[in-house]
Amino acid sequence: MEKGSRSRSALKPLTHNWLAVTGFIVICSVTLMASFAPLIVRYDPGRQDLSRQFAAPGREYWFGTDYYGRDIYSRVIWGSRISLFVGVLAACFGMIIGVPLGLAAGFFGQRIDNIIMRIIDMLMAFPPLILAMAIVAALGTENLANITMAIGMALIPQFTRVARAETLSVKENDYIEAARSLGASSWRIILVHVLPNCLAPIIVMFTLFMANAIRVEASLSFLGLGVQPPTPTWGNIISDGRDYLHFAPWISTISGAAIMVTVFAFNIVGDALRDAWDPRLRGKIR
Amino acid sequence: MGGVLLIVFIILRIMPADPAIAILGESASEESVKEMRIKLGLDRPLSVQFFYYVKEIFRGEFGKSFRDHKLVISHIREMIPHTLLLTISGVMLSLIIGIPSGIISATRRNSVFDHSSRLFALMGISMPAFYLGILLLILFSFKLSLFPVAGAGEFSDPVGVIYRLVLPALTLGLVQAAVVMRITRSSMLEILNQDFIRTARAKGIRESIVVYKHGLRNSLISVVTVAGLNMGHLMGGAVLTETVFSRPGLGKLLVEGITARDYPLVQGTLLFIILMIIIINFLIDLCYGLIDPRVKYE
Repeated sequence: MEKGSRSRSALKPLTHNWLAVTGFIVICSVTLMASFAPLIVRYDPGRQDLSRQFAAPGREYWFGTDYYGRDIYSRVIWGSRISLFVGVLAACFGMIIGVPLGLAAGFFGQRIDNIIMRIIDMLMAFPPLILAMAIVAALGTENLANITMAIGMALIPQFTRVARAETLSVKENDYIEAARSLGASSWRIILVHVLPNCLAPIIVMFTLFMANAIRVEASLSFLGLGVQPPTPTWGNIISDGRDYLHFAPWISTISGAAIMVTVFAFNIVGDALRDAWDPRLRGKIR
Repeated sequence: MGGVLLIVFIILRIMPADPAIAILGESASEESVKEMRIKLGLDRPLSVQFFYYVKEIFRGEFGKSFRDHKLVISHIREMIPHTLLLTISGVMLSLIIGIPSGIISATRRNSVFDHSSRLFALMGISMPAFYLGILLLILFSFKLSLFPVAGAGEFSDPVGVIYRLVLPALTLGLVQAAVVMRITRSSMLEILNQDFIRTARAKGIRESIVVYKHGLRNSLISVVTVAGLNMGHLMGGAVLTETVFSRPGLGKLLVEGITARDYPLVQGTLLFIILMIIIINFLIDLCYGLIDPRVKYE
C-alpha cells in the first residue's frame, strides 16, 4: 500500500465520525482565534471603563463587562492564547521528557527500567493538579514558563508509562531482532525502529493530555496559583467573576464555556484518533 | 511512601522565594530575615532539614506552621472531617449515578439513551469541577434559592451540614459519575459478550438476573479499580470544589499554605492527601475479594 493511501485509510474512521470532525473544527477555530487575537478583539483586554461596570452582554459588549468595565469578549479571546500556549507547551514538555524515559525503560529493561519506573511510580501517587500545585508552589507564579513547566512535569509520568508499555510490545517484533543482528546500536534501534512504531498511541495521548493540561492551567489560574491578573486567562476570568455570580453570571459562565468546549473538542478528537489507530479499543471506551 | 516523602521535600526546597521574607514582608531588614531563617531552621544543611522533617512526621506532628506556630497536624485534624465527608459523598453519588447509567447504556447499545449518556459523560470529563460548581451555584443558590452559597456548617447541626453538602457533593459526584459511567459501559459490553452470559441466556435465566447478577458482578472489579485510580482526580476536584463553595478542607488548607509560602503546612497537607489516596487504594485492593470470590490473598 502506498504511504498516502495508508494514512488516508488510517484517518478514514476519523473523517466519518461527525463528532470528531466537529471537534477538529473547534480546535482549528480556537487556534485561529488565539493566533489572530489582536485582530479579533474589539477592545484592549486590559482597558478599564468604570462607567460601564457589569454591562450585560449586548450589542456594544458582546459578552458583557466585569467589575472594572473590561470587555469580557476581548478577555476571553485573549485568554485563549495563554490557555492554548500553556496546554501545547506543557504537553510538549511532558512528552519530550516522558517519552525518552519510557523508551529507555522499556527497551533496556532491568536496572534502568527499575530505576526509572520506581521514580515514575512515586510521581504517579500525586494527582496531576496537586503535583502541579506543589511545583508551582516551589517555582513561583511569577512567569508563564514556571506554570507551563509545573503542568508539564505533572504529565511526565503518564507519558513515560504509555511509551514504556508500547516499547515493551514493539521490541518483541522480528524486525527489531533483525536490526540487532545487522549490528544496529541500541539508540539507533530505538530512534529508527521503536519510536516510529510507538508514535500512534503517543500522539493520541498527546491530544488527551493537552486537554488535561488546559484544564489544569485553568484550575491553577482559578485557585490564584496560575498566571496572575491582569493578564487574562480563562481560569482567572472565572475567578474574577466568582464574587458577582448573583448579578453578573456572564463573567464566569462564558469563559467556563470556552474551557469546556475546547477541552471537549480535544477529548473527542483524541478518542476518535484512538479508535482509528487502535482497532482493539474501537467502540469500547466511549 | 518514603519516595513520596522525599519528592515532597525536594519539590518544596527548590522554592525560589524565601519563606522568611514571605513572613516578614519585602521591607524586612537583612538582619531580621537572617534571624527568622535561623528560627525556622532554614539555615541548616538540606540533609539536616530532611532529618528533622522525617522526625516530625514520625512523631505524627508534621511540623509547625510558619504563620501561627500551631502544629500542622492540628490544622489537618480540623479540616479532615470536611474533606472526608465531601469526597465520600462525591464517590457515593458518582457510583449511584454512574453505574446504573453505564449498565443501561451497555444493555441498550446505540439507543438514544446510550448516545446521549455517552455525550454527557464526555462533557462531564471535559468540564472542570469548578465550572460545574459555579453553574450549580448560579442555578440552585442564586436563581432558585434552594441551597446556601458557601460554608460547611457545624457538625453539631447534622441537618445543616447535609444541606450545605448537597451542591459540593453534586459537583464532585457528577464529574466522577462520567468516568464511572464510561468504564461501567465498556466493561459491561465486554462481559455481556462472553460465553457464560450466552450460556446463562440459553438456560432461560431472566435478563435482569443475567445483567445484574452475572454481568455487573463481573464488571465491578474494573469499575472499582478505576474508581480507586480516580481518587487522585477526586482529591484534585475536592480542592477546587472547596474553593468554589468556600468550604473548609484539606484543599483550601493547601492553597492557603502555598499562597502564604508556609512550607510545613504545604508539606504536611500534601503528604496527608497522598497518604489518604494510598490508604483508599489499599482498601480497594482488599475489596476485590468481596466483589469476586475467585480473588485470593496470599
